[in-house]
Amino acid sequence: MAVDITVKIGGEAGQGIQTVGDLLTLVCHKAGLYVMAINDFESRIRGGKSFFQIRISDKPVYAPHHRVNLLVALNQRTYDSYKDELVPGGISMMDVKGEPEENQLPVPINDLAVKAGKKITANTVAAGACLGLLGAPFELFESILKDRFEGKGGDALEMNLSAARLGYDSVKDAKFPWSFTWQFGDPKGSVLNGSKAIALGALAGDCRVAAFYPMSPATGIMVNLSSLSDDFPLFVEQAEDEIAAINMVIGASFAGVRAMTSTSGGGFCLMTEGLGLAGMTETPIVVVNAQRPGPATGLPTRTAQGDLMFVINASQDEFLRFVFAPGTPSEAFEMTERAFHLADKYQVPAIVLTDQTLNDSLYITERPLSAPREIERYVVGDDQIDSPSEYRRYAITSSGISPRALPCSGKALVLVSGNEHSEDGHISEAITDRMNMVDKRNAKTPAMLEEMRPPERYHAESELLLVGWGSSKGPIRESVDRLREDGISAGCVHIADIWPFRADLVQKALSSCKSFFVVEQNSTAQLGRLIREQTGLVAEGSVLKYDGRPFFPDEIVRGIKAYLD
Amino acid sequence: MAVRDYLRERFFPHMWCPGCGHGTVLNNLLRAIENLKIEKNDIVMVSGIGCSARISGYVDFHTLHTIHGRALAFATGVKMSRPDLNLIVPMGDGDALAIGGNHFIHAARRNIDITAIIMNNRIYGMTGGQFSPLTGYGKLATTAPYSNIDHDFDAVSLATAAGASFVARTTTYHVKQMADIFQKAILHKGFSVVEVLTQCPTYFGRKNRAGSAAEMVENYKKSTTPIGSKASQENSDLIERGIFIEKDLPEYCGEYDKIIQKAMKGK
Ligand SMILES: Cc1ncc(C[n+]2csc(CCOP(=O)(O)OP(=O)(O)O)c2C)c(N)n1
Ligand code: SF4
Ligand SMILES: [Mg+2]
Repeated sequence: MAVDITVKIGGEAGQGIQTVGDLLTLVCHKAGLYVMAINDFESRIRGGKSFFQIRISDKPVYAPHHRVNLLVALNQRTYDSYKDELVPGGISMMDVKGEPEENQLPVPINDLAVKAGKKITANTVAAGACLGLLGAPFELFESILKDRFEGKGGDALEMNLSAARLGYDSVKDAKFPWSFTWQFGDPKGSVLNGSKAIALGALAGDCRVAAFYPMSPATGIMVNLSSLSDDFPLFVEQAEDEIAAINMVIGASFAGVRAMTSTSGGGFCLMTEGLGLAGMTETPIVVVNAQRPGPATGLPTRTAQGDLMFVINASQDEFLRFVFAPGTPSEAFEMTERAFHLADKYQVPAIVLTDQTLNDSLYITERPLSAPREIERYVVGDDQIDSPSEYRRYAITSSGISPRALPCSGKALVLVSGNEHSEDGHISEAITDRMNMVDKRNAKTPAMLEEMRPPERYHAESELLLVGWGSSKGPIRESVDRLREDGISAGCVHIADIWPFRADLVQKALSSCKSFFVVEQNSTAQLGRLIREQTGLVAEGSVLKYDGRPFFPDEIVRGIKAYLD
Repeated sequence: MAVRDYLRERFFPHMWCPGCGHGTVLNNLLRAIENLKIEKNDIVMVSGIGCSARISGYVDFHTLHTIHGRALAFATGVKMSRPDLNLIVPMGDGDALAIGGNHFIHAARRNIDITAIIMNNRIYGMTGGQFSPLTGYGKLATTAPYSNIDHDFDAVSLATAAGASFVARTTTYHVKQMADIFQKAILHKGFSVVEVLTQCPTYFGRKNRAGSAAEMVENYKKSTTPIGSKASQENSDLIERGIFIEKDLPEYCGEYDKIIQKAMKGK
């Protein structure tokens, strides 16, 4: 039997939903299963309504499912809110006072936790009961708990083992229709969320300085980087705001190390002036914008794809930049590393555009994460400059790329200015300097375009194509599978290398279909507008979602079918 | 009007963690306003973003819940358009002095008649316990796992140096003093700064093993002393509380009026 089960664990913020989810994820991973888990929470530390929804499968999964097989309700409100998401036969496991409903499986989670030693083990009890229902061997759970609690001191391990056992045994006699035999071989790849993938990608890209101001959903990247700075030569600075953060990063890069910052919408707004400085001074930097719904404070802990047009155009006047929108953690890893490389190579800012779904969701990443053997810095020393004392930072070249010397590292004097400047970096208002510099900076365009990779295609020969970008890749692909099962000739195109825009490649990818639809998490189909602007091709329609929650394949299927009916 | 009439109870339960000091600040602020018998229509509360800033969601005044760090700039705009209104701006320590530090010193310098409350829990509560400019050297935070090397501002000295004409400090233990200081701050004509030491048991407390919320509050009693007290002279580690500055200085809107009259002379 194929396994495809969704477990939703809901309760108040601070109740430890995340812990239950993490434990389930780890056990499933260890058992050789695939998982994809989304994290849904409100912008508050305690109370409210949040959930962790994990999809467990014996095949790779990159999208959440909209129907729930097992609801773990840590409070009554969770049951009331989500019982309608249960599939027929699905059950809600919870503390029940009084007569249980037909779909409720009473488990005295809190009493069992107290029995195990402490109320805080309720999460372990709940995880134990979940795994019991799913038919998981207890030893597997035991080994995960040992990994987690051994060496923590005190009786933490013992208490959790006993809590796990009590939870597991409490459902011994319960019937769960989707219980399965747990034999799937070795663990597949590793469990990763986008935040960690980006942090690792930054390391692979030889990032040495990271500066930031906390902002959801980007903070996780820096928390991950901070923890890596124990083992790597990396400086992570929490600045007083985003303006300071991006300018620190520009300073670090000017001084000669690879540097990045990460933020979300409002913080990115504050960074735009600095972004322009990086553009004008041709200083390579990497900026991660983890999107959340806006404008202004918007929905701080939720997801969106509303900043595409913004990041392509951010800051006044015109300058080149790279924009990448990864669809999975492994792409996020690779693109972050590439962003560092390409920023250095072309002396431009590079932006990695992610979102809350990608940053906070757990995925199984099978592609090995590998760092480049060597880091090419694209800088010159005195020995590579004909006459170091006459070095000009912005020397006109046919490629537009001027040899980049680092300050205070030789005879070459490095002058940089955010005002318009002459070749030697000195302020200039001369017409020729202005014209020459704009043209020089723009001259990098053809080579930068060459760096951009073609969109990824799936059943690309189909009559109908779904076109998307960023984290909706997984849901779009799965919706294509479902449309095909229904006999619809559907495929998809995912654009991850977004800017500079390869109109030719996108045109080619869309040339043979009868019609295409854009699938995006904004309200005006920004990618659709971009494609039209760049290629003249007009989407037949769009499936748009802007409620702050991640895409479910089912919604896309329904959206597309509505056009076909 | 009773305190309850100033509350938007339809939005309760509030979002703060059990034991959070922000509720105590709300409580005493409302008490102060009740004592002063200010009409709802004469107050505008402006706040930024943070657990502290959510206070504006629970008061039944005209409120402007804005963006992180900028509340004082919005409040300045409101005050300049309607100098007759009472402007109250509750802010977190990060909101006021990290991202909002620049607006803070300039509002103080203008001495514009706004009551600025810094709810100082020494941490970014809302975003998960990162250190703030008031966390202090050697303390722990999620982004300072080995201990913080940033030194903290003294909010009182900063406000004073920047030109605020009313500067005070109190704590969530000293609730009577808090309400009393709030009243004086609101009545004061000019930029009034009230720093309230308030506990975040969830992050600052837990990270720094500061004990339960009750212990943290109790500790405000032990670690603070009235300005100029004998205890203060004997032990410089004690934090002084009370009103540090209260002086009559030209207020910004008043000065502006004079300029307008000068410009309009004879017209
Ligand atoms: C431009 C911008 N950057 C970052 C954030 C994220 N953010 C929201 S509140 C906050 C800090 C809150 O700390 P504080 O002001 O001390 O208030 P507290 O929650 O501790 O009461 C941060 C960093 C934001 N909303 N906007
Ligand atoms: S996180 Fe801290 S500041 Fe925020 S509500 Fe909880 S206790 Fe209060
Ligand atoms: Mg704070």
